[in-house]
Amino acid sequence: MYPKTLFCFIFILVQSLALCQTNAYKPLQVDSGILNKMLQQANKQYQQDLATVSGEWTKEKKALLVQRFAAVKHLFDDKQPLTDTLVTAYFYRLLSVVKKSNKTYDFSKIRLVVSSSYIPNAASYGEGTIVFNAGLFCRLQNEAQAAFVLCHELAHYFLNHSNKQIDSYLSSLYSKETQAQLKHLNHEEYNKNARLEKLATTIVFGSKRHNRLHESQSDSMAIVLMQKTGFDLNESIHCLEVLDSVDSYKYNNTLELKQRFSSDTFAFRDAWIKKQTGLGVMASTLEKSDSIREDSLRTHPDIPQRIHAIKTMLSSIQSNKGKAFLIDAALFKKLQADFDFEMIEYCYQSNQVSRALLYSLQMLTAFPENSYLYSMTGKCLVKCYYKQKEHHLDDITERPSPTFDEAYSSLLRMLNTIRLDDLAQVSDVWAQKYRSRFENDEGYLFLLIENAGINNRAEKQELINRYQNLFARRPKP
Amino acid sequence: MKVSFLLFVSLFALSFGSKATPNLTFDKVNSIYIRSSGPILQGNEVKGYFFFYQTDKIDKKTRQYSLNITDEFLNVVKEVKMVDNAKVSLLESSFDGQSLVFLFYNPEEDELTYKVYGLDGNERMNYSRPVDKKDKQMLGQALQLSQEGTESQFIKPLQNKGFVSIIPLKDGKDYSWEMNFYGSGAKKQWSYAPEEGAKFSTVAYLGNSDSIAFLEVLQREKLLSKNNESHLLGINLFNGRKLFDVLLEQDGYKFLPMNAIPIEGKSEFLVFGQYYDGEDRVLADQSQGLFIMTVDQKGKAINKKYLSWTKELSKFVNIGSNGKVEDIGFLYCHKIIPVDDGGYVIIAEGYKKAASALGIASAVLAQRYQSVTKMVITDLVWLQVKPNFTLEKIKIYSKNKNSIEFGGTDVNSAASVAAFIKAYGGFDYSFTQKDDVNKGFVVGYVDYEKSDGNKGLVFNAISYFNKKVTTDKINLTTKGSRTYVYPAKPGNIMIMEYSKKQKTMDLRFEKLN
Repeated sequence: MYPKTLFCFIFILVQSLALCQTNAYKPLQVDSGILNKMLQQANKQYQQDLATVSGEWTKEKKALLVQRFAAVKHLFDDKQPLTDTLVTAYFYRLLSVVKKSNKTYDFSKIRLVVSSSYIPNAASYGEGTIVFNAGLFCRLQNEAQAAFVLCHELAHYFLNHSNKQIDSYLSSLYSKETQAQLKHLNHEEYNKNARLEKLATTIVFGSKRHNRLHESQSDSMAIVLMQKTGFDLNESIHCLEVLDSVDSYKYNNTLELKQRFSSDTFAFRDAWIKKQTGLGVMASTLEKSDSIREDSLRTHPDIPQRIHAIKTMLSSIQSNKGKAFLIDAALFKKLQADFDFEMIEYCYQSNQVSRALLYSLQMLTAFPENSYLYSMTGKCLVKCYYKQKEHHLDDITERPSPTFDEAYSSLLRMLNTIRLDDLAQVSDVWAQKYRSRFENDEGYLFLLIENAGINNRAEKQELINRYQNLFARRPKP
Repeated sequence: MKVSFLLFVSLFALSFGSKATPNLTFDKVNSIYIRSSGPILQGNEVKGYFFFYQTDKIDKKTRQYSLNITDEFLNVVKEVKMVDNAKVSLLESSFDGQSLVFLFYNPEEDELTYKVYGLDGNERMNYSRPVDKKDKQMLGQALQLSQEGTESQFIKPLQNKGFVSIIPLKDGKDYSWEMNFYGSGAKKQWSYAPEEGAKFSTVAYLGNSDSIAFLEVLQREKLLSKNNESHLLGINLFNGRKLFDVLLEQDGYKFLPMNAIPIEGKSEFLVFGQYYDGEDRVLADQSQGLFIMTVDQKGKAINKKYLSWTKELSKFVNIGSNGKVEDIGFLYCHKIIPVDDGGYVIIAEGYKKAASALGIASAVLAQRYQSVTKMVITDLVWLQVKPNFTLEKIKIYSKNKNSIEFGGTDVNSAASVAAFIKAYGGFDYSFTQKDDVNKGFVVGYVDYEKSDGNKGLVFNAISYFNKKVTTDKINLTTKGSRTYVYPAKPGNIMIMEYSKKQKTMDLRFEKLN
């Protein structure tokens, strides 16, 4: 790298890290051209796959490939992939490290997609698309762990697991025995559904057994793929340990709703977030479901089992002196920091507003000076106000559920209970509270304009004029 | 309703750490049918929903059922599997704060069964009551009656104690009723039946305190007589004994209670309804106005106020001495609701008789008797009274007129026909939701709008919060699907959209503004 370029890169990096900590985060731009290009590549592969289907159950297999492509297409339609050059360049450098040390494998059809989804996961679709979610990347501790995740998904691709699973599913569902049983059951009058359920369960158990076997194989092959990369193989174990605790939040989950949304002139009502004594309590008292059945339905082996298997494998590898970072530790951290914000932006843009609000409130404690989080919290409240006004709040917020933790449930209870007038006031309390700190920030000024409109204040036009003077354009949602 | 069933295998994305999604579909082979569904109510608050499915046929006479219980947000909290008779149906459900009761009817064995479930999802006990063949007709009729969306028809919950159930009965030409208590904590049961004498006796459950159930009993000596006697009956909820039976005739007037509510912080009840001249017949003749009274634990009136059509109400609206409001007609009072200043709001709806063009034409063509009048449902009326029951204001919420035609409109009084319309759900008023969290209430009604941009059913809400009244409306007309509104937790309604083409059912909640 030339010194000048290096200097520019370091300057940008330092600038953007500083922005996260103190000032504002600017969401990464999504390049529709790149998205289209990636989708076209996936489509080309899909058309090739369709054309080469032959043999038994061709029609059924094609139907499944159609569904598989629809799942891939959904990623692009949903604008999940991050197209920023810095992001894609980093992940392709990671892929390149694996590729260089595994020259016997064909990487030509691999399309690595970095998704802004908050779900801590990665996936291989079997036709070359490998998705690495921001929600998983943010939780990892180093590049070696990211490399292990990538190698695991590559292993699924190289071992052709997706296509094998489709074949296995078709061969068990369309086998002569199963079809004969289905035909017989179709003419049965009594106990038909119970017997169908039993048959389905047998097939599903078989499929999940295959899945678990595939996962173990992919873990093993991931170690093989990593072996010559120079990454520390022990990080594969730490990566699985991270995965085991991924259900807990990264940031402080104390939302302090009452404290945040009250002012001297507006009292937050405890009743909005109070746990109701309804039938919801039944869920917490229910007996655990059949553990044998649950185990049989898991797609992945237990993480302790996976760790044990990898430890056994590593004990037979003599030289294991790899590094935790090989590419760029600082960039790794920067991307992790950016992705925390990107997940919020994606949630907001994809109408998962209650989640965007949750993550914004969680991160406020860690980034108390970041105007993006204050603006985003306010934007979420404003969006909820407008959706509630047009009776479509349910489209952008989740409903309280026994599966959510108490902090998120209390936020959802608030959104589900508060009346429109009070929501307008809560939104305004938030906007006015930090006005003196952020009123020259573009996002925050926009928030002030929205709240002036919602609460019918005459200052709206004055704020719009100010916005135009500061940013030389009209405010747009 | 048929819904797709079973499992779907996740084949496509081989993920790094996802959890099981055990599903697989066998199209066109298996299906399940929703036999019945409805809200689980505690008082007039929705606490959850039930969905009762037939999942399998065991043999010719037996079926496998699945009862899914959800919380108020439609999260499934329990699935109960049961085997029962092929013709069993689930009529209703209620929640008393610690237990759920489900009322099943088995027409083959002529039996009503009340199954009580605890919050652990396990069946605690059940109570059975045979249905006499003679009662079947009454039960069938009662099943067709429409209740307010936020009120159970047969089962009334008693906070953490159990449930009372009122069943209409018919013995020969005598019409009567029976009230039963079913304990939820321990197996305890009592029954109350009115004393013999009246040929025709109907009952309306007005409400209850911790220890007393208040009932309005309307009875007459002869079936075809129009001389109704109106009684306020108090039943001890601990033992089912009659505490009081007050003939509602005082000050030279007769009373017809329509609603009763406990007064917060006191052991008294507030009862309201219409009053008649002492010489007139309840329901058959025109009432003189509205009354509001507080009654003590012995059924004795403590405080009473008459709101006469000609005196009090005429200060606010043009109203005749017969109680007919100009352009609106007579008032049918649906509900009385306490407000935060100690006063009350009465929700009423206008109705009047009108000539039926269809009825006249049919009568002429058929050359036989045909009802030539119809009932027209008019505007919604909001009457607000002060804490001392003085009438404070009347506000009219205009809506489109809705006509109902059926036999008997000519020969019966408008008031009796209105009671019939109420029983069969002919009014536009839907329900009142009390919202304790936000300290207010919402009144909901439907209307059919014909404006330039919109033509179809609209759900309207009148909300009272912080002494402020606001209105809101939700358009229920969507392309290619049928939309239904169901009660939901306070401040919300549940909208069900059924797509005829895709045969899918979409349930969502919407908050009322």
